Amino acid sequence: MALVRFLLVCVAAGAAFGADAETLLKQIARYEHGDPPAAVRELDALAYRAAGDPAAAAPLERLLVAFLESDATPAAKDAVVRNLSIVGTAASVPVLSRMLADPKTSDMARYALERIPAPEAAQALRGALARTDGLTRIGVVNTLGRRRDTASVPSIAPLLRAGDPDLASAAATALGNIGGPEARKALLEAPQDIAVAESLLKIAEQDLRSNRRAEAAAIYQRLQASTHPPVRTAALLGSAAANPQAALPELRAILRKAEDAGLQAAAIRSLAEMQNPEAGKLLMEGLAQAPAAARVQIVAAVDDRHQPGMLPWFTKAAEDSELAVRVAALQALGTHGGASAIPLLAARAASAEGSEREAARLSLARVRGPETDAAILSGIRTADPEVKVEFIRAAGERGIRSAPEVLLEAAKDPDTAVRQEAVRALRETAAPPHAPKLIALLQSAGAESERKELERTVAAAIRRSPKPSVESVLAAWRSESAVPVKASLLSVVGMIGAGEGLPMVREALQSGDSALQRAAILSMSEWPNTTPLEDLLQLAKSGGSLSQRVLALRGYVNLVRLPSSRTPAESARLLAPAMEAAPRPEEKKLVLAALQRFICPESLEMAKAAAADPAVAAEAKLAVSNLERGLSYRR
Amino acid sequence: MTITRRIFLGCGAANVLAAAVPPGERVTLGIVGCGWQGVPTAKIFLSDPRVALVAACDVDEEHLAEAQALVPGCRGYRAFEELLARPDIDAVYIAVPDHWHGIIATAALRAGKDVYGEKPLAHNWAEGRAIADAVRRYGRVWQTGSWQRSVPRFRHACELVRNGRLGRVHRVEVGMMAGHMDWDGIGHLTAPEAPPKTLDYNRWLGPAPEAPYCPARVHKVWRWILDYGGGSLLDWVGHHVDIAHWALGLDSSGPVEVRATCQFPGRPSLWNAPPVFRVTARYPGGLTMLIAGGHDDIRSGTKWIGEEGWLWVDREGIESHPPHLAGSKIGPHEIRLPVSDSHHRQFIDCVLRRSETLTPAHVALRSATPGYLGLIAMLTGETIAWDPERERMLNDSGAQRLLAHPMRAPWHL
Repeated sequence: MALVRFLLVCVAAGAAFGADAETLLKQIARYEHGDPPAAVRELDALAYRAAGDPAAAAPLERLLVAFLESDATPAAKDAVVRNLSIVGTAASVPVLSRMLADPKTSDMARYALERIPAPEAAQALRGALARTDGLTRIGVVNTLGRRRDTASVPSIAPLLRAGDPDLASAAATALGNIGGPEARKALLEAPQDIAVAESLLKIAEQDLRSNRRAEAAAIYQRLQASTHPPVRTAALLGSAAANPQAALPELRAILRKAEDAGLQAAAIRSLAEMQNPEAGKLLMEGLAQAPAAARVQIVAAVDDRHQPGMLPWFTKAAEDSELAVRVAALQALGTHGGASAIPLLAARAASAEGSEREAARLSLARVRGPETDAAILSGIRTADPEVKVEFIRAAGERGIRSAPEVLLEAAKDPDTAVRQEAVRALRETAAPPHAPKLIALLQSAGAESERKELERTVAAAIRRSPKPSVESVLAAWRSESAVPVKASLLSVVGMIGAGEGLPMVREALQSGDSALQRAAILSMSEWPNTTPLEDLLQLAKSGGSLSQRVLALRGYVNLVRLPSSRTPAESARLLAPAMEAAPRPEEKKLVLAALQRFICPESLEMAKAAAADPAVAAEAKLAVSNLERGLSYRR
Repeated sequence: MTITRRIFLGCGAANVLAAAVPPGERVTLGIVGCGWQGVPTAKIFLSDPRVALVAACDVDEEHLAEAQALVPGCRGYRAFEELLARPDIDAVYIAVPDHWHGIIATAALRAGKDVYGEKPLAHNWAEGRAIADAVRRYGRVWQTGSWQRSVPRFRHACELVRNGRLGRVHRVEVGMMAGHMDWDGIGHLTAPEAPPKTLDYNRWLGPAPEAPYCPARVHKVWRWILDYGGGSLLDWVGHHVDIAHWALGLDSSGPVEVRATCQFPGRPSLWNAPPVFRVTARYPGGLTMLIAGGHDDIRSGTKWIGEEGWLWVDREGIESHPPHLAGSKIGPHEIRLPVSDSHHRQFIDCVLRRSETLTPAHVALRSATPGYLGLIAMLTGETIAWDPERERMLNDSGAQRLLAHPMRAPWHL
């Protein structure tokens, strides 16, 4: 009979809403968990879409309500009822109210009732308070709290003294969420526990937002006597926020007394957030007597206050006996220091280790103010090697534009560490006009490691031009005879990637010197664009030795993988000849891995074709699987 | 000979070294949620000699055993409440499914613990707001697992944008992974069956609606079901949108309007989070953010487009137009963002200093809000109007109802 009634409603509602919902509900009526969920999903989609359209929501709601009253399976009703949380109104409340009292269906009824804004929903929930128990009743209390239903406070308040601690806790939370004078009164009169305290804290926060500072302060004062340390901390923080000036004496006392480290930390944080200059003074004075853990917090707090004129204080703190305090102070010098902090930072960077050294280096790289760059350049000229290295590093980190001339001198220093750091710093600061001097350094470098560093530095300097030119590299190539240096110049050209350098690379390929040929292939492999693609492919197909063909093919794949504006299909077509030219299974696998970046039918076809090759079948199948999945989620 | 600490420390040795650190500089840590992300992240924490792992909690005995095996003496719990009740634990790392974030995080904060919580901050906006409020209320330190802020490349990109290298930025494109990854090939296992004896399934469900166990519902893949997660959009919003916000100084702001579309290619399944989506968020000042998964025109990562060029960053690299812009140096007299080269170590630093982390809860909520609103917009088809100042939805419609999720009893916030 119930099903007949439901079908009649379907006919009536279908005319207004369209037949879709009606058809779907008929399909869902015998639904069981694990069945194909297509109809459930479609119904969900209809409900979501009706959320903003009352004209569509009302007929759907009628259908859903009728469905819940039918003899559809419990799983079907479970799947359907949640849609009432989206489109439900007062019209849904009677059926949901009946479900509310049944422990098996109560949660899902609440799922809808919690979200239905109609006052009838709250009324039904209040009514259920008296006729439910156990978990069901706790759920009802929770939902009334989430609804912020002021009218339920008289019914919920007595539950604070319920014998069931879970129910009492739920009641306390609900009252905190509801707020207001009645809830406050009930919570203040209730046996104090963590849930009650938290709800009082929430009410005090509402008071603060509404500028009822005295009411908030009263709650905070009371909670400072809590036996639960986190509540005491919260009360102290709240109290300081409610009335900063009045809180100062207490904060001072706590700062001086180290018995409760948590409360002390809260006091320090409160002082950090106060605008009052007296708060800053308290913190600074507190440093001397505080234990190590609190000293770190004080330094961080003073740092956060961004008060001017703190350089001497942080400088003193940077001499603290505790490592963590020194690290915090050195970091603070990066924001509060100036040129006068630089000698200390450089010296500490040179002498300290680990986190202290890192803190000093970071601050040296970031410290602001007039004359800071000049102080660093002066340090490069005059300091001892260990400290000089730190000044040089800072010049590089800061990208000081006037540094290259000083650094070029330092790059000739007898001290190896100084030279190496200068070359690295030049990478960050040198510009195209410095290229000839840098190339000369490269040509005269004694060790391969220094030459390698210089390769990158020369390339970086030239690349700094909007239109990089390799003219100075070509000039050096023409005059240079040493193979290792020529190989370095090839590497530089590759990193820059200017087309005018390609003839030089081709010349090296024809040289007959295997070391130069290898350097030329690597140079093209490093090219930042696809200009040498064809050269590499030809080498991969018909280059000299196997190792050269392997190298060339890898370089080719690298260049195809570079970011580009090509479509995935165009990239896949570039990889096709690489697959054919791949001399060994290892390179075929490389191509298959690259293919998976380019999700398109062409890549899929290539991967499928490769699956026929037993040597790479496993990799090809994985590529097929990944590409198919990728394609299924693309429009 | 120098041996780096990370190499030297077998995880078992970590607690021994931590014991040698003075109490004021040591952080005792508990893990809640030991599956998948949990154990690898715990190992990262253990590479910091200041951290002692003393407790782990999981509803799956197998996951719990894996975490306990990391260090001798790490006590195991099935109920997070018992772990949080230990007064000797300073901080917790929470790596549970999204639908548990709000409850466990607020319980941890209420218990006076500092928290490193996985992203997204919460399952929905209301729970995120509850977490952020509790952090403030109890004066705790919170780090969200939006660790890209601790990667130099991302920081550099954000500093370039902040310092106006692109001129006025009028558009941001955020590309995310599309679809439903089925890492263990269990997506087809949707028929109800008895849960494994090692799993307390009722606890796993927690505040989510009652539903029978099946493998395609739980470990790793829960994210594709809206009762527990928010799909790829909410998975990645805490990374790429977080970075987009950081660059633009939007950590205390948000969109004013959000529109979205989505698609469900393929057969409907248990997994109902939209696999293909496109969210358009309009911000004050005329900025538009496009967040997309499964659209070829939006590249994975974050791309800012301004009057003088564009800049793109992802875990794979950084690019720009004009090309030299990406390598442009940030000078000391420009805007500099806080430096962290380890998100986990930065959390421990902040726990000891009682200072704010790189990704506190209130910031994470702002980063995730375009995702929360985007999901609502794509489900309802509504254009969501949002007041970022008061954090209020202005639509007077059913969309309002989706800002929070009702919870199964006895769970509540």
